[in-house]
Amino acid sequence: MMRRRDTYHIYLIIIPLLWVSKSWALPSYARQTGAPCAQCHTIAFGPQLTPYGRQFKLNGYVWGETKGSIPLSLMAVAGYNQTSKDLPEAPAPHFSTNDNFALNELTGFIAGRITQHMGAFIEAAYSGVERHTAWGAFDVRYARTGQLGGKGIVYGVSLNNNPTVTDLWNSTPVWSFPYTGSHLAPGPGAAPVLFDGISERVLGPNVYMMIDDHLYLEAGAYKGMSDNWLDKVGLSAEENLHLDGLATYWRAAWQFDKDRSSYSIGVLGLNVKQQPDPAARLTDRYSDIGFDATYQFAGDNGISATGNLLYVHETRHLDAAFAAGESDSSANHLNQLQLDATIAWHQTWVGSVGWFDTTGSNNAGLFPAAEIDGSANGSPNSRGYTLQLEYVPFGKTNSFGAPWMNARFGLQYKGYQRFNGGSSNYDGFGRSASDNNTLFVFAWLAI
Amino acid sequence: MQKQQAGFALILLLGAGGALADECAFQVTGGDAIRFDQRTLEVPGSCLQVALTFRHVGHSAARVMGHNWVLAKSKDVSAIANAGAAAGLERNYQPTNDPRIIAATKVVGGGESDTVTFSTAELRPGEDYTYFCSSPGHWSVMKGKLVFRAASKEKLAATTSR
Repeated sequence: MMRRRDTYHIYLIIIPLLWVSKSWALPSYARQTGAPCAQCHTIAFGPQLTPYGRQFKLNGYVWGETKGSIPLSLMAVAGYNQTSKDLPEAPAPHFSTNDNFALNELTGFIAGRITQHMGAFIEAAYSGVERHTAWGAFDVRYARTGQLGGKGIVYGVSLNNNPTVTDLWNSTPVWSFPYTGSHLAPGPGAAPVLFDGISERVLGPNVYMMIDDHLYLEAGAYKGMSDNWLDKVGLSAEENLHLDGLATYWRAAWQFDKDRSSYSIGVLGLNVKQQPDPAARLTDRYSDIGFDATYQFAGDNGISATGNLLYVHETRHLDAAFAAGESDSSANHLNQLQLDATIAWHQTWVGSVGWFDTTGSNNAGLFPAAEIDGSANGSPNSRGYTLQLEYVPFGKTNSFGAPWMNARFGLQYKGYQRFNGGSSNYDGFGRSASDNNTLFVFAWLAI
Repeated sequence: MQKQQAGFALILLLGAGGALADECAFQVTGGDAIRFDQRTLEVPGSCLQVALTFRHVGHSAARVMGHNWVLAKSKDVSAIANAGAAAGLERNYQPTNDPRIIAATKVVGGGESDTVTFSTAELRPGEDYTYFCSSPGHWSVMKGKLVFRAASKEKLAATTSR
C-alpha cells in the first residue's frame, strides 16, 4: 500500500517518507573538529545548521585538527506510532493496523575528511519497516577557498544523489522540518518532484560558490541510474526513473546576519524529463521553481529560535502519461507551501510547529480513488500541521559522553485538515483526513 | 597649603591619566564555544595605541578549539578568513604578512591568552572595522565591530602632551 519509493512515474509519489528520513548531526564530525555537535547545529543534536555548521559543510566537511578520528558514525531512529483510526490493513508486513513500534532506520555513515580538501557524507540505511538496506544521502565534495574581486570565496564541486542534499539551509526538502516521523502512517499523495522525487536514483555533480559569505550559487545535473547500478545500491529495477537526458538543478541564495540573528532568502529549481516507454518518444516533464527564506536567532540567555519557509510551484507536461491514459490532461500544476518554527531552551528542550499546504490541478487519472492513499475527487490538495516537543540531553559542550553520546527523544503529532482532496470521505472509502492524524513517540540515537 | 593643593592636583592628573590609559586597553574572551564575549569595542580617538588581550577561558586545546583576535576592515574579512583557514594552525590561521590585517593575536587554547598592541594611526573614524577569530569557520559567528571614535582636539592635545 505504501512504498518507500515510487516507480518510474514521479507523479505516483505516495510516500509518507517524504516527511521523514532526514538527517542528522554526526558524531564523527564532532570527533574530527573537536567541537561538540552543538557548534554546528542549533539543537545539540539534529540537522538544523548554525552559521558555523554551514561553513563546515560548504568547505567540504574537512575542518578539524584532531588526529586519528575515524570518519564513521552509527545512528538509529525508533518509535511508536498511533494513527487516529486503524488502517484497513497492515501498512507493511510484520506490523499491525495500528499502534506499531518500529525501527525506522539503523544507519551507518562515512562522514568526514578524506583529503585536505575533500570530505564526505555518505549513508547506508537499514529500514526496520521494509527490512531492507539501501544507500541514503550521498554527498562527496571537494572545496577550496580563494578571492574574487577582493572578496573571499569558497567554491567546490559535490557529487551527490539528491537535489538539495547539498543545501546549507534547513528550508529545502532534504533537510527540512520535521526531520523524522512515522514510516507506517499514511501520508499525502502528491508533492513536487523537488521533494525527494528523484532522490537516490540519480547521481551527478553540482558546482557551487559562496561569495563574501553572502551570495551562494549552485548548479548541477543528474543522470538517472541504470538497473544495474540501482541493484548495487540496494534498490531495484522497478525504481528506475527512466530519465530522458539530465535532470538539472539550480540554486541561488543570499544570507546575512545582524547581532545574534541570521537570515537567508533564496530561489531554486529542478527540471526533470522522463521517457517512461523507450519505444515511444513521448515524455513527462516536470519543472519546479521555488522560493525559500530562513531566520535563525541564538540568544545569550540560552534561547534560540529558527523559522523556515519554502514555496514550490511545479509545472507538469505529462504527454506520455496522457497518451497512456494515466493522466486526464497533459498540462498540470502543483504548488506546495511549508512553514516551520522552532524554539529551544539551552539546546535541550525544543518545541516546534510546522504547517504545509499542497494544491494543484484536479486529475482523476493521476490521483484516482483508492482506499487510504487515493482521492475521491481526483485532487492532490492536502493541508496539515506538525507539533513536536523534544528533549535533547546530550551533544552539548559539556554534556555526558560528548561527542560520542547523542540522543534526542520526542513527541510528534501530525494532523491533517485536508488529505488528498478532502476532509471527509477523501478516498471514497469513508475515511476522513483527521483519521490519519498520527502520534509518533521517538528516540533518536547516534554515536 | 600650596603643597597640599599641588599634591591633590598630581593625584587628579595621575588618576585622569590612568583612566585615559584604561580606555585604550581592552580584554576580549572566548571559550569552548565559538563566541566572543563582546560584540562591540569602542576605541576613543584619543588613544594613540591600543592594547588588546584575548583570553581563552575554556578548556579545549588550541588545535581543537583555538581562537585568536584579528582586526581588519570589514570588507576584507571574508578574504582574510578564507586565506587564514588555508594557512593552518602553525601560522595562526593568518595569511603571512597580509597588509589587510591591522592587528592580530596568536591562536590560543584554554587557559591561555595573548596581547597585541597596535597603533591607531591606521584607523579612521567612520570606517567599518570588524574583529574576528580566524580559526576555520569561526569568523561566521565569532566576530564583532570595532568603532574608532573621532577625538576632540582638547582630548587629543592632552593625550599627545603626556
